[in-house]
Amino acid sequence: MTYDVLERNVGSVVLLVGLCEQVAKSLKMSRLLAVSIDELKDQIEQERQQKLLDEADRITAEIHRTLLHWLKLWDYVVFGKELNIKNKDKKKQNKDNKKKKYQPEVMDELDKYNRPVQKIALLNGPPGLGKTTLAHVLAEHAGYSTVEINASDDRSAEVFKNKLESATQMKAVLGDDPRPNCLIIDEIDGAPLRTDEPIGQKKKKQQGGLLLRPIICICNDQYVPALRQLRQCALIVNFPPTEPAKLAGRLYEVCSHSDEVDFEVIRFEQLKADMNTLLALCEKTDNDIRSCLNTLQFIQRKKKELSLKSIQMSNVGSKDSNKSLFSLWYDVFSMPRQKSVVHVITCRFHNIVRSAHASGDYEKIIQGLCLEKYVIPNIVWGSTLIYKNMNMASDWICFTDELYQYINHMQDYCLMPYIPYVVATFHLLYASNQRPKVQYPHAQYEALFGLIVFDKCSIIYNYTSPQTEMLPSTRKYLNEQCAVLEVLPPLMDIIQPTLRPKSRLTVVYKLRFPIADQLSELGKTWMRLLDFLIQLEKMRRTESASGTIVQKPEPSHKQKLTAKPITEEEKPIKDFFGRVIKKKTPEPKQKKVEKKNVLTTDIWFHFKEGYSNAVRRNIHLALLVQQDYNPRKAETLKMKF
Amino acid sequence: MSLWVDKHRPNSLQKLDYHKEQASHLKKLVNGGDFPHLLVYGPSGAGKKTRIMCLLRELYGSGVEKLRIEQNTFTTPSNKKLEISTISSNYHIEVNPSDVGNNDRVVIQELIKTVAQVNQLESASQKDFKVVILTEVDRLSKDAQHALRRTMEKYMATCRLILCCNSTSKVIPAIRSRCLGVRVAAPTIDEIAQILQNTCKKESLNLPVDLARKIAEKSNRNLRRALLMSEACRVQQYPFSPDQEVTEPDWELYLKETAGLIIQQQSPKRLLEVRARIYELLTHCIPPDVIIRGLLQELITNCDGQLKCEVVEAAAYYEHRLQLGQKAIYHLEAFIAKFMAIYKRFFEEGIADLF
Repeated sequence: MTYDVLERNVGSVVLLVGLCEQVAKSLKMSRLLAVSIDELKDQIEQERQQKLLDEADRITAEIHRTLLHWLKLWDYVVFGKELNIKNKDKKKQNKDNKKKKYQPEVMDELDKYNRPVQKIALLNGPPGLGKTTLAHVLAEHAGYSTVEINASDDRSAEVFKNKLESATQMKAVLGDDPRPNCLIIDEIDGAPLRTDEPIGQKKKKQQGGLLLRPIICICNDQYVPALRQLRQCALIVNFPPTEPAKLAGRLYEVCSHSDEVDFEVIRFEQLKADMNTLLALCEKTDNDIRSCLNTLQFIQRKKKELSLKSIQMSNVGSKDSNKSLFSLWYDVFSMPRQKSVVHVITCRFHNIVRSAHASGDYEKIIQGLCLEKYVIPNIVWGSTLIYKNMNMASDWICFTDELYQYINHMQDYCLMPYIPYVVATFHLLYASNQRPKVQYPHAQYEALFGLIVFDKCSIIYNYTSPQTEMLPSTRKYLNEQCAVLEVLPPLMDIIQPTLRPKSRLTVVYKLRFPIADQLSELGKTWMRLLDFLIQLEKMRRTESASGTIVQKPEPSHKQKLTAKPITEEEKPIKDFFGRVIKKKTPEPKQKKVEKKNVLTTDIWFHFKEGYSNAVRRNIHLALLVQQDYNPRKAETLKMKF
Repeated sequence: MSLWVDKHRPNSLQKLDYHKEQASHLKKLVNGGDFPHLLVYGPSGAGKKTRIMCLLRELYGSGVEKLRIEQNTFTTPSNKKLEISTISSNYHIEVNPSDVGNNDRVVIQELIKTVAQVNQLESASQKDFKVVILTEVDRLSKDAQHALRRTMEKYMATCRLILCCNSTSKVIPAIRSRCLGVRVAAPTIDEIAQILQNTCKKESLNLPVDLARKIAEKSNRNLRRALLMSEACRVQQYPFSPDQEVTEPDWELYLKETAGLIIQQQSPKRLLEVRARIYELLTHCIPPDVIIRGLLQELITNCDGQLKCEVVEAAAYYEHRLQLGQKAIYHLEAFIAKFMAIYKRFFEEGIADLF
């Protein structure tokens, strides 16, 4: 097979290699199960492992140390060795010196079974950083025999449970391998959700069966729901993405002189490469060590020189990775760094389109874009440019929307690939060097939610719902649209008359539509208003009674003809001689407050107040506060005072 | 208690207040005992449904006024249950198929079939057809309209359709040609004012001429709105005063404010604010085409002569796309952005000319 053919069809080759890897892994597994299959061991695989190990050693030394530290904590349970306490001190010093960034702290305490508190290590990071390799290497290093479960195995709940038990509680007897097992569960996040149960059960099993062997789990995404329970009791080790410069440097080393590492089959020594090219490679592969090496290997087989062009041209290495929405939005609105390969405009374009394609959730992406476009452009461009861009962007969005409608309506999905180009347009229009602050687009969802709420509890709902209370004759002349636009706004005024004059200036204008609750609420507001008015009226009356306010004349239509009360003028009574007799008007009896004689009533009681030293005593608050207050003690205390 | 709109709705063709000539035409049409399918169209609040009911009453007698609401259930081919409520009397059935959205085709096919396949029992004393009233035909999907096409002809013997819509532009020509079009134009302002005064007289209220006119002008020649407004006025203040304030619908005020914001300042930030307001309107079920029209009307009053043409063109363009698309907000926003661009450019050019 010539390499020309290979390169033409690189994708499948990569797949092939992946397959090889898997095969090799499972083969390795079977070796661990004490079946001798050394002959079958693929040498390429071995070499790759070796290389990866090498990388892992260099780049992820920190992680390496953390994990090893954790593994060593198991020593007491597994091997019965005393723990190295000096280790602990050193660790502390380490921590003080560095103020570590991401890596979690290994808790040194042991639980009552002398196991580490964190019973499981969870390695977490993007693919191709050597997580699996690291786990294997460390386990071997610490003196364990590794048992691996990965996605290629059957992982139904039953099988998983069996395997878990056999791995943690048994030990190979037949083979010449007396070492205790260390279970490595690879690709745990890819496990189907049903394995959630066994993972959840694991904790329970620890009480029952008592987990006495270390388990290392490996995943790409630690926030998978299946891992939620696991995360709580696990030591989570994050693999940060490698810095491209570091990786490129390392690759350079590998390329230029690989003698120090013992390669048996393939040597990179002849491959000429410069740092820039390697950097480009790193960037292209998203700092995936495995992918980098694979690519190098292919190129080396074909030619002796690694050129920038060949990296850019070949579609090796670019992974079909699924970016998160946020990182995609971020990419769209940020300009790639000057130095990097993807700075070229066509490259940028293709990159964005590709990642938009990969992420799939176009509608969300577009919503995010839509929101973002207003936040960014402010100072730099002239206003005409702003509007030109804005119009272009919104036209694109409208077009996409139209496209969507067409696709959905006609179910014609062959137009689907044209949708992500809107994302590229946004990138070209709005990408800037300042860091974009990407927000999640809530508005659409909120609007939708609001619409549902509004729909559910409004008169409109009443209109459409089966249990309508509307009269058919009313309902007949009303449809949804005219209800909203024409009937409801004045209806509110009709059923809710203004009881007091509102000053137009102070009333804050708000959209208010009658919602069912509001209507029932209406009664209450009415009551309150009426109450208020009544109070007002009362006040007015009392005031008018006191004479400060002249009572308004009644409106003419309410005035009634009433007979004038004829009051007999009381003429002073005169006596025969014309003298006025002073009438003795009896003095109005002052109401005597009747003092009830207690004794006359049938029942009476009398509260006898008394003063007795026997009962009363001064107690300080401080004493009461004292919990064990008891009066006797207090007495003694008082005596003391 | 019912609203004046319902209380004083005329219930026979003779009692109609305006378009009297048309009323007499309709009467003649029905007096023959038969009539073709009708397509009644005209703006909202012009009295389309009132006329339809008067027509039916003329045809069947007062029995059509005994209305009941029924729930009908239909099953789509994909086994989805659709519920739709119909208003019916013994002689007619009224349904708004657009209530069920995209599945309106099923409703139309099934409903008309079931109605049409049943013959009237006593054909001697009754008409031998029933009437199916379909409202909001302009909101029907194209599929449903196509489905309607053949059914209309097929069941001519046993049922008549009366279609009711605001505009015929969204009704496919095939249907338009199968119906007798009856246009119910909006009443003039004088007519509205007169009707308002008559109504108030019936309510034994005294409505000043000026106020009646004011309300009529504010109602956009929409009789329903005018009546509701006058009732609201009555509640607010009685006795009426000629210079009384007439409250406009709140969404209209809101829209006007929004337009004011757009005119006030053109910037991406302002666009973001406006966007929130548009969302608010949409959430309250205000249809997007009403929003775009309202905005345009407000914006255009602030535009110079040359600009008007351009702005209207943009509005038409985006309104068209709005109909084709799914998410109204994008298109509304695009229109506003476009307007801002046009407006800003005009201003900047104006300033440049000054120097």
